[in-house]
Parts: sequence; structure tokens; C-alpha cells
Amino acid sequence: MKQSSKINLADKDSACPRSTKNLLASLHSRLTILRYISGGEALGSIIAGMAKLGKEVSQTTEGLRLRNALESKHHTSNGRALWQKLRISDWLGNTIPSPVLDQLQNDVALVLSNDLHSELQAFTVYDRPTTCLTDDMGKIEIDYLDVTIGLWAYSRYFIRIIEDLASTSIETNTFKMDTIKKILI
Amino acid sequence: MKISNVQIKEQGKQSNQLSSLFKEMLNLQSEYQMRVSDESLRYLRRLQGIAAPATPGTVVIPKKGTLLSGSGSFGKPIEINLEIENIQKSYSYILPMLTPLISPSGVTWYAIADYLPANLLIPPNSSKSLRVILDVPSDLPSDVYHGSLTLEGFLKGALPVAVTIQKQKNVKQLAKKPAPKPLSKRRKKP
Repeated sequence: MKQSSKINLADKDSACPRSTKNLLASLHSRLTILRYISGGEALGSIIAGMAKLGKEVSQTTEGLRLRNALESKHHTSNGRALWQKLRISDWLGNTIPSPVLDQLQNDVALVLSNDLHSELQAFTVYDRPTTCLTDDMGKIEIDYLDVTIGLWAYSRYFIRIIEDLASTSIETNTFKMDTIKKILI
Repeated sequence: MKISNVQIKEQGKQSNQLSSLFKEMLNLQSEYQMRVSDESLRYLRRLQGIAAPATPGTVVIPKKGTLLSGSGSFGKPIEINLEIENIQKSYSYILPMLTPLISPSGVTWYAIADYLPANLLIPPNSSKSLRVILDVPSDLPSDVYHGSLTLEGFLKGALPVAVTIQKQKNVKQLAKKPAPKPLSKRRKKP
């Protein structure tokens, strides 16, 4: 039996709509704020954002299934022991979680927008990124596509590892070798 | 001057008491310092959160009284259709996920759902449709199951879902019905 419903996707804040100009300003302010916070705070904020997302997704059927599959495994108790001993949860618990999916959505929308070039022309950047390496010290050029493909490869690798961890039985040396072989192949 | 053993013991006791008192005081003081630094860090983080740059976001606005509903029974997949319109000036990306469905009698159904398409990229001021297809397990009791469809990354992104599983009279008969014979055995002997 088919039934259809309709929903709208609208701006969270009408004063700050998802226009190209605002998305650009949001990305720029995220980059600018990196100059005023420590690397640990920036990284912690991103990981805390992912943890928040993990908690939310654990309420869905797929998320719950994955969580249950991971829960009883040997590596989960190892991971939790590391978490406790290295006080990772203390570090992340005191950090403001970044809205990681919102930011990803906005960045995707920004690179897909048709008026980006005209907005970039009108946009003024006051800050210059600080660099540690100079050209003669082996500084390499990093392209937008390098990062995009790197993220894709990293995410694929990550997904395979997590799914393997969820499906594998505990004894671990064989698992590690199998996983590594699979990934390398 | 003579010092008796008793006197030495008493002096030792006193110095032990003093040192334990001193230790306790040090412990209390260091604990206090730890708490103060923890609390100040927390306070600073909260301030940092307030000062963090605003991120433009998306909200899901359902039409009044929207309830995603479907009905079916074992062997008949349930289909739920959803029309999504993006009224923003930018693209939106949708990744739907279903929560477990729960009946009033307390049965929880971890539905295996197919999302067609699995994800949607909706251009500004346009709309696309999403189909969610649920396979009904044979042993699922007939009832109305409630849950929600979440659109990850969107605030207020969960849409209520109600799925009615109808009674199927012939389920037992279907289960008892023997499997059809293989073709080779069905052939009549000459």
C-alpha cells in the first residue's frame, strides 16, 4: 500500500540562510578560529562532534545493529580500557562538539554552488595561514582534489575496518592479519 | 638529661600525627586545585562554545500532521513514499535512516529497510522523492508499529512513522504448504 507525504528543507535561521555568501563566511571563520585555539581543542572538537553523531545514529536500526555487533567484541573492551587510562573521555567530555554533518553539508553545498566565483571576488580575506615549512624545506603543494580523494580513501578504509570489527569473532591475531590482507588487496 | 623510651615513643606518635595531618592537608589542597582547574577549563570551554562561529543549518519542516504510514503483511513489502522539497538557496544532501519500530504491546521490530535512492542530493528550490521499502518478517505479530525516519544532520530531522501489520489468515497454511516438487519429479512417466 502506497502513501506519500511531503516535507520541506528550510534554513535553521532565517537571519543566516544557507546562501553561498554565508557558507563561505562560515568556512572562513572556521579557518580563522584555528589561529586562536590549540590543535588539541580543534581536534577534540571534531572528535566530540563525531561522538555526538555516533550517539544519535545509535538510535537508528542500522546504528543500533552495528553498536550491538561491536559491543561484545574483544577490541571494544580494549578500546574502552585505552579510553579510560589515557583519559580520552575526560578530554573529549570537556570539549564543545562541532556540528560535523552541518559543516560537511555546508562545504558540499559551497563547492556545488553556481555563484561561488563571483562571491569569492567580493570576499576579502584578512588572515594569512601560518606555515612552518618553506619551499626549500620540502613544502608540498596540496590540491583540493588531493584532500578529497584522500578523505574518500580514508573513509573507505575506515568503513571496512569498522564493518570487519563488527563481523569478526574475537580472536584477534588471525582477524588482524585477515583484515590487513583484505585491505591491502 | 634522661630521655625515657616512653617519651621517645610519644614524640614519635606526635610527629606521625603531625605528618598525617600535613599529608591530609596537602591532599585536600591538591584536590581543591584540581577541581578549580577542571571547573575553570569547563567554564572557558563553554565560553569558547558561545564564541564559536555560527554554522548555517537546515531544518525539516513537515506539512501539518505529517505521518509517514504504510501497511502490509508477510510476503507483501511495505512502501512508504516521501516527497522532499529543498526551499533553500543551496544544495542539501539526505541520508535517511529508520529507528526501531515499537508496537503498543512492546514488540520491537528492527526493520530491514531499502531506501530508494540510498541518498539524495537535492538542488536548491527543487524536490525529489524517496521510497522506503520494508520487508515484513513472517513471525511479526500484527499490530501498529511506531518509530521515526531520521534525516541525519538536520535539526528536528525525525519524522514519525506508523506501520500497520495486517493479520494474514493463510500464514500457517503457507508455512505448512509443502515446497513444489522439482521439475524432474513432476514429469509424468511414459
